[in-house]
Amino acid sequence: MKISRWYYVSLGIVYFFLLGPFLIIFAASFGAESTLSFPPRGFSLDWFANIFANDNFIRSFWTSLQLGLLSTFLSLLFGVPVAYALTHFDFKGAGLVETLFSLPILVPGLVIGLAMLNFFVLFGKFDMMMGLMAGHTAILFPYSVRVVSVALRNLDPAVEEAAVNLGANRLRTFLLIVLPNIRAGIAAAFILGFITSFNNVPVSVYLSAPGVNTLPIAMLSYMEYYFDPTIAALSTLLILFSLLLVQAAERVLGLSQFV
Amino acid sequence: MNVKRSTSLLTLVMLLIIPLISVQLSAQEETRTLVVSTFGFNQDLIDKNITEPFEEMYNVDIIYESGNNSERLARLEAMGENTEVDVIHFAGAYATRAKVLGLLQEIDVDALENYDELYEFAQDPLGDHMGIGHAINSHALVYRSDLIEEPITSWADLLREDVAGFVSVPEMSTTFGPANIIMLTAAAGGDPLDPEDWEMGWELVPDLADQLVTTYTRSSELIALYQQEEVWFSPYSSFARGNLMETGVELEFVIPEEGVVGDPIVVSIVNGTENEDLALAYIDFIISEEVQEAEALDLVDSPTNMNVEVPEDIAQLLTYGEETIDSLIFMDQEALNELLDEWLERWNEIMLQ
Amino acid sequence: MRRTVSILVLPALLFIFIFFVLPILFLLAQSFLDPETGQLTLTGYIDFFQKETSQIIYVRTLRLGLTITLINIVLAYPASYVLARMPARRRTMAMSLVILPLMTNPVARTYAWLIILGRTGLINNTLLGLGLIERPERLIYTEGAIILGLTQLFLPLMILSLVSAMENIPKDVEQAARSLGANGITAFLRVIVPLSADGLVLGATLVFTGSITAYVTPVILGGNRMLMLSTLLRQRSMMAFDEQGATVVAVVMIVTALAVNLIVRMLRPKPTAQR
Repeated sequence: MKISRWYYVSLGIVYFFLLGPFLIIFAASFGAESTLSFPPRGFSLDWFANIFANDNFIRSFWTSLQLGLLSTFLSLLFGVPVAYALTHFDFKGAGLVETLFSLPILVPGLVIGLAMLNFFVLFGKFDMMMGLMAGHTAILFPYSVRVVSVALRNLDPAVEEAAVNLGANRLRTFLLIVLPNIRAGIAAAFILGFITSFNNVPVSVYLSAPGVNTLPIAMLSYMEYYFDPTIAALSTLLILFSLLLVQAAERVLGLSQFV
Repeated sequence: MNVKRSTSLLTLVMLLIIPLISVQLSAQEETRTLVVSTFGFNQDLIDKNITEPFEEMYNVDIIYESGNNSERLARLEAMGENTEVDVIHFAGAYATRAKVLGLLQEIDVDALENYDELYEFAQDPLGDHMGIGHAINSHALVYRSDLIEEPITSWADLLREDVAGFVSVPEMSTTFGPANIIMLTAAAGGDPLDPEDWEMGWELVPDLADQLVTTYTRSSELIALYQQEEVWFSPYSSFARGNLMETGVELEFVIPEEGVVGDPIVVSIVNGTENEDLALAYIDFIISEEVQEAEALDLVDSPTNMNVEVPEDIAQLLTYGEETIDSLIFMDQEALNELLDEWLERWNEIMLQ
Repeated sequence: MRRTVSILVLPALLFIFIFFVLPILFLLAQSFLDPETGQLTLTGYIDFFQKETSQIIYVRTLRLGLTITLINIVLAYPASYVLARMPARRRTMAMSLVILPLMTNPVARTYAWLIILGRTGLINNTLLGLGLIERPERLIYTEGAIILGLTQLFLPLMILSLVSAMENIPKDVEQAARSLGANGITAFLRVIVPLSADGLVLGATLVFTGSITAYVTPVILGGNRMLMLSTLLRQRSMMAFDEQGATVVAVVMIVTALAVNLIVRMLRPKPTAQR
């Protein structure tokens, strides 16, 4: 059936609104002037060079990368068994467990950050990196549990039954049959979790310490000092990074069905 | 997704994670570290003048925590005894607050070789030797001389009709927030140093609120506001003067007729530090003639070491020289500290209208 | 079976209990305790709801949340319809572009609006060039700026919810409506909208709760004067040294977000067979 042209116009408006600002950032990051204006005047790559000359950006990038990988890994390590239990057993309190693991998405990040800071200091000296890791792992649970659950539900039970019938125990079945079959789901959860952690501000903004700072927080403080296009240049790189990651993930995994 | 590709993806992830974990574990301390909490403004110049030579001289690593006064004070208070910070820089009001909260410890001034070279006001600005004034900051007016025709001469000009909508002042929660009230008091004909008169300043705040684009919490934010052409006229802190001049916009710096507010920038030792020796060495280093001169020449800070001499053109850009320093109005930080909560509340209520 | 379930669930439960539930409970307790005496008190809450400043901010937050949700619905509905009717391959591609803002560093995303809305930005320069205004207008630090920024952020969530609901609408239902004489718009309003109501409710809830708790956008585009609950919370805790006040704002935020979710869940029509 034919869709009226107005629907396409509205889709165009939506794309313009969602993606237009990114094109503007791309253009602004090549401007030659040290003030942020649009349209930019002149052409310069200085702002890109500036990013790599800034210690704080480089250090916080590595912190964010490390934090993102480790906390996503942890949330899957804890979360996959929960997803398995939720999809394979009909146990008392399953509903409660499901709600509990979706809570971190409902509680505002800023509240989680503040609560954690207030809580951690009760117990004496602590490593802020560990604090960040605990915080990020907690906020990633909703993603890891839900996405892996979806993948497990989509798995044909006959595959598993066959293995069990052939005498394999649950653990063996899980490792040899189930896990390989839900790889796509796990990879999707990993990418989603990593992006969520890598981009997080509200939790990280409370959990910083001397020398421990994530990239988005470093960007926010840079913006308070300077208004030159360095942040535009860095944003350009980060947007391209997201674009590549999302494109790859969408093509291979169908990421948008899990968001 | 085919099996091969996903297996290699998982392997890749593992390969990335394992070295990261081992890096975390093997990060043992070799040289000592000193954690310094500071503003983070002009950090590249500070690194050149202070961090690098100090690290080399004492074989230490300095780790910085940066942020504005209130953020760092809030964090220091929240972390309590768990803080890693050894030395902390604050503007006067926050140093006073930190002292009152018991977060600082007495500085053994006998251990400071350069102590006697300091101006008197810088030797013990908080009392009980809880801090050393390592720089002096002043608070005056600046405006866009290309956009504002009639020259700015007074704090009262903040309320002028032709600048309405282009004014910014520091947020009440910042160092010079209370200075808004104090200098408006002077503008209204009151005595800026007499708490009895401060109500006169408060009466002008609703009018001031109507003039504002936004308030600012850091000088850097003010610089951005000038660059974006959001702001044409504002009070400014002298340490930001160099950066303001680099914005490329046409600015005129004014010493208003009611006077200029002075505020020592204080360095203190955090209560319970395990690195008192390094902390003292650091303080002694930054008040030395040599470092203070380097910082002055780079327009980072105005010196409090009396022996520092700078050329005339630099001197004009700083809060420099005995005469200038004698003319500064120093706020009564202890009295303001008592009032701050009430003032914050009152300020917020007016600003939100 | 019980043992297996325990082994699977307990480690994660323990983790989330220690690192999430306990801190939140502790924060809840803090909001009811007098910071000086340690006595139970309601002063924090009384202060919050009596103060005009926090009333204004609370109402503003809810109002902005509602506005953003409505704008999102209007923008997303027709666009989602096109996306839902696309062939699978093209839709995959199209959706990956839709979700890009969600996946992008929030500072980067919001920074774009500064370039667009600043005094030397795109809009002001365009209007000046066309001679429509004489001097640049202030566009940032306004409610409008926050609305724009948050709409860009949450539109993808709305679209995702709507598209997944619309996918399940059989094409022949709509054809039937048309063959009975309904024109395009009538068919859309009478058939598509009711059948995708589930997605609408889900999307609206996500967008509303997201908007009233968002942090980066109000910080960058709202400045110090256009405070929302989140920026008030940050100000209370980090600038005003009002630890109890901060925890009160935090609790108000959680309760509001959870209440909206709960109310929606209660009012929601029985799920259709397909979902």
